[in-house]
Amino acid sequence: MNIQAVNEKLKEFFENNFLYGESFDDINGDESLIDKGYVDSIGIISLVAFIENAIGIKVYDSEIVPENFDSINSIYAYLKKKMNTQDKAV
Amino acid sequence: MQVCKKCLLNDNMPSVRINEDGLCNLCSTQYESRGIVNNNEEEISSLIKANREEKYQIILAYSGGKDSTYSLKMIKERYDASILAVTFDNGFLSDTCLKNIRTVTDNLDVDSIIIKYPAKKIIRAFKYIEDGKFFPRQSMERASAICNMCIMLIKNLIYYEAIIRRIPIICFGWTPGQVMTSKPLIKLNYTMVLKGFENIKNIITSRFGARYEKYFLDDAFMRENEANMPYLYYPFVKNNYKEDSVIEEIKEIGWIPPQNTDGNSSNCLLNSYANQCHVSKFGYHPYAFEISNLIREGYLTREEGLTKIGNVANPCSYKMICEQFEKITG
Ligand SMILES: [Zn+2]
Repeated sequence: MNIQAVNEKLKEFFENNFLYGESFDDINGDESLIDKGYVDSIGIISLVAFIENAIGIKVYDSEIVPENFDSINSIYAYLKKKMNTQDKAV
Repeated sequence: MQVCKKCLLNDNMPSVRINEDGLCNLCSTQYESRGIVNNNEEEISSLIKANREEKYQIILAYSGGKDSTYSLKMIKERYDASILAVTFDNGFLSDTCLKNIRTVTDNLDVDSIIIKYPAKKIIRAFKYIEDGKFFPRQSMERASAICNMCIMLIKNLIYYEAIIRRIPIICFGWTPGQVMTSKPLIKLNYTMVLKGFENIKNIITSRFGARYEKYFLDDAFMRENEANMPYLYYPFVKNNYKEDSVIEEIKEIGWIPPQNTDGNSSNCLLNSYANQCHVSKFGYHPYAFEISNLIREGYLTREEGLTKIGNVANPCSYKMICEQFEKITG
């Protein structure tokens, strides 16, 4: 899967699970998803499951930190970094 | 109101949209798995082995309900570990539940402690948050505000007990509908743990003062224990979950179903009140999401799910709780 396809899937996942009819593109990419109330801690765990199951990227426990998952831009940056290392998406 | 024809989500839930085929947005977009398999049996065994000299290797959040009772039985049989069952008594556990906790831990030969906070403090906090406005909207779609609050207190308590007792594994008996995870065993960084509690901790302590601080994890305590974070283990996530066989199996170790709870709780009387508050305010059942997950994953039939959410509250328990809340907060 290339980065564009991954981003498309991420958008679909967000719109189906975290957004209430809002558009993914309208969310400020730097805003804290938890502080803004879009996602709670169980939501983060389900996002990790989505990244592992639907995208095929192995997420290590030590990587599940607010710096990687608490905003859309940090999630993008995290996925990009993962896809550029050996933990490539299948 | 439209209800999904596969699960039980309805479009009163703000994140739910029903398409022209009658399916909700979650049923119409199930992903095919790309095969990351996290099988943690060996890891769990080696964690237990490496911590053999500690008094306990597993701490289980034991509600006394059917799912955590089954989890306790399962981990007791599966691992050669010393287990501590910790129950948070919110003051509304049914008498049968308290009896079940005694009988089951006796029969399984497991140590048990029950921790209860003063009723006045707990009821004031529950009353303050019951309308859900302080919680992320996602949390409100998955459980009532009171249930969310209670679970948060339990998580804070269990993390604290695990850390001070140097117990490496925390076990939660969530059903596969309550937590959708690819990681049945997970060690969260302390910052992630704290982040999940931060908002409610601030809301409660700024409303009721510092005397409520002890019920939440302290930032400095967590930072000091960064290297000692316990693992979280969800034994149900990768096991077949069937409610009927769960109940049959735990009856063998003396568990008795309470008669005064609602259709979705097998331990807590407050749930009737919490459900009723939620349904009145939001127009959908707080268990609809969990039950729909179970239906989608094939653990429950749609008919079984419908029966469960048809039973919102036990009228006697509901009335009793209303009176108790009124006495303290009215
Ligand atoms: Zn559905």
